[in-house]
Amino acid sequence: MRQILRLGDSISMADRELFRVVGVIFTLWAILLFWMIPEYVRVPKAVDSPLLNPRFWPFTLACLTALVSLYSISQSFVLPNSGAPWCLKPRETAILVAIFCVLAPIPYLLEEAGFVTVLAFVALILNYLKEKRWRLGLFVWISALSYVIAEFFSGFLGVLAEKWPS
Amino acid sequence: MTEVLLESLDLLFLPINFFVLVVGLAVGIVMGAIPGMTTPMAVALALPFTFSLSPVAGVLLLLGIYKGGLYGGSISAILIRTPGTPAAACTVLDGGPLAQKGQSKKALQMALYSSCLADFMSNLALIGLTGYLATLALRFGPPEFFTLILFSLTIVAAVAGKSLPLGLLSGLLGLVLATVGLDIVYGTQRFVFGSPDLMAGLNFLPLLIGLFAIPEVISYYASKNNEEFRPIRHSGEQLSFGEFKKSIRTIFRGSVIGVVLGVIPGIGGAPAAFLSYSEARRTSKTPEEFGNGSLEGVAASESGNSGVSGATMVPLLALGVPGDVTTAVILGAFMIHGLRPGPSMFSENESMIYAIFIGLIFASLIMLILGFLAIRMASKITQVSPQYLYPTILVFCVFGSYAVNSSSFDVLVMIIFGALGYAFKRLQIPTAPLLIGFILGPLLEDSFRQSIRISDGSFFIFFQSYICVLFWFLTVASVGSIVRARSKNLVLSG
Repeated sequence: MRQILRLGDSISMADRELFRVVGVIFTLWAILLFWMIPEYVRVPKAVDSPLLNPRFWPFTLACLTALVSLYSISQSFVLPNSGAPWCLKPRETAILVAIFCVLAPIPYLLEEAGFVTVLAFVALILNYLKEKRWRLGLFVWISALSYVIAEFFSGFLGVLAEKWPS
Repeated sequence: MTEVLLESLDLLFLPINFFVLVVGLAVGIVMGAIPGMTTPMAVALALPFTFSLSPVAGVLLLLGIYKGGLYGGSISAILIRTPGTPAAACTVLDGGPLAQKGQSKKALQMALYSSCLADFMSNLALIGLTGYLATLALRFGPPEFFTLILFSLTIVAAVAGKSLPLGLLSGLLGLVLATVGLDIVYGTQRFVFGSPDLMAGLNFLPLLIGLFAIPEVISYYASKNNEEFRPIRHSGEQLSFGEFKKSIRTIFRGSVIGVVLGVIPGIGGAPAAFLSYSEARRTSKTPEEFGNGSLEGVAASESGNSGVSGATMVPLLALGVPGDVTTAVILGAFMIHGLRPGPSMFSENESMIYAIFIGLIFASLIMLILGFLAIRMASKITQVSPQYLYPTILVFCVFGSYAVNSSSFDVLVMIIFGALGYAFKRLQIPTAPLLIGFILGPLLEDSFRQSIRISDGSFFIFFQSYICVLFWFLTVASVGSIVRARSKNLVLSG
């Protein structure tokens, strides 16, 4: 298994580019699927079991697509000991995948945190485009903060609009 | 028994029976070779002609078309990289590269020999093992079906090419595309986007034609260097006995896989071909040749899909259950002549059943002769100039996509998947896993949900029978061997 995880050692630079492009395309496809499933897969009023839910199968496939595409992206990295330039350490990639694993099986949470997740992916892609690391962190945190502030104010304004005497 | 055999021979040895068998096989080979003209369609079109024939002649006509169609699909798969039938999709993987290398005759002959031999073995299994095979088919409930399909999905590793992750992504996309349409349990819409055309899901043939044929056409028109598309003035040498002998084990293995999968209703030739291909690659001494023009690959694929032909008759004759659309039409032919397939048929119409069985054995031999003629004529396709060939392929692609449902929407689907296929080609993503995902996806999901409904949500149903346990074991072993082979490759390359 260790050999499999260290696959990056034997991949040529051209293949790394390929893995990066395909990985990013399929990650975006997975995100699109996560957005499409609640919109375009109708659920009947009474579902006997979560496993029989019409959304269960597409959702499982979307999760698997996201995981495999992230793995594919991770193959585009050059390991530190190979002496070539690299973007993320395998451990950091593993953390990203783990975060995704935690988020992905919870559709409700994902729907709520969808914006932040998308931004995180955008940030990830920016990182592949050789952006500096500190910009990545700043971008994610500012985006997440803006989202929370926007949510708070939209709720606040909504309450105000309700209370406002017409 | 001797009396029954003599009666059967008396029923069979009529000139009309052999005439309809030859006509059926010839029509089947031609129909199978034309992309979009499916075997079920040809069998259904021929059904009215059986009204005036005797039951034996009528059934032999339909079976001839069915068997001829299974082989015919390989001709266009090899020569123009466009599978004539879904079952021949796997033949493209090695048949196409062989034709490009100028060895189309070898590939076509290997396809013919493998098809005839597998068909013959399948007929023998039908004659000798109907009772046992029918018992096996009866033991296949939804959980067994699910584990079998799960095992079959490991084929993706065999057709993934040089990169497993890219193959997996392609396969997952195929599985997602298979979810389009109405949900089978609740009847709700999934990814239909309000379009009535998508309610029944994406059609298999436009997707197949789009993924395999259109990228070739686009590549020709997009290429600045037309040298690689120049016509091959020769169709190569004959297949030697040594080359055939090398693939004999693969053919036998493929035939057995075809027979076992053929008796299970609802699977069909395409998964059998891919599973046979996967096993052949796994056990081959030269797995690196697979996908780059391996005769063994052609043999595996063709023996897998032709091995199904006789076996699909087992559930029909022994249980009265049609295994696929074609056998459903053949069931109709039996009923038109006042016969009801099922256990009682063997006691009530024994001599007629044996007449059909013996006719099927002759069908394999006649197919061999007709196949030679077909190869002689079809080999000339490689000599056609691409400026005529590619527009003709494009016309066949549009016709084939439209002909399935007489729907222009299917042509649109074909064009979209053609563009996707071309993008995949440029990005070096294999298209075969997408096709496998698309074929196996509905079978996997339906059997999973049926099992869960039966067990009230318990997963233990997938471990209750010994067939399930066997397939779990095979799945784990297959995944293990993939991991081992990959790590070995890494060690060698590292």
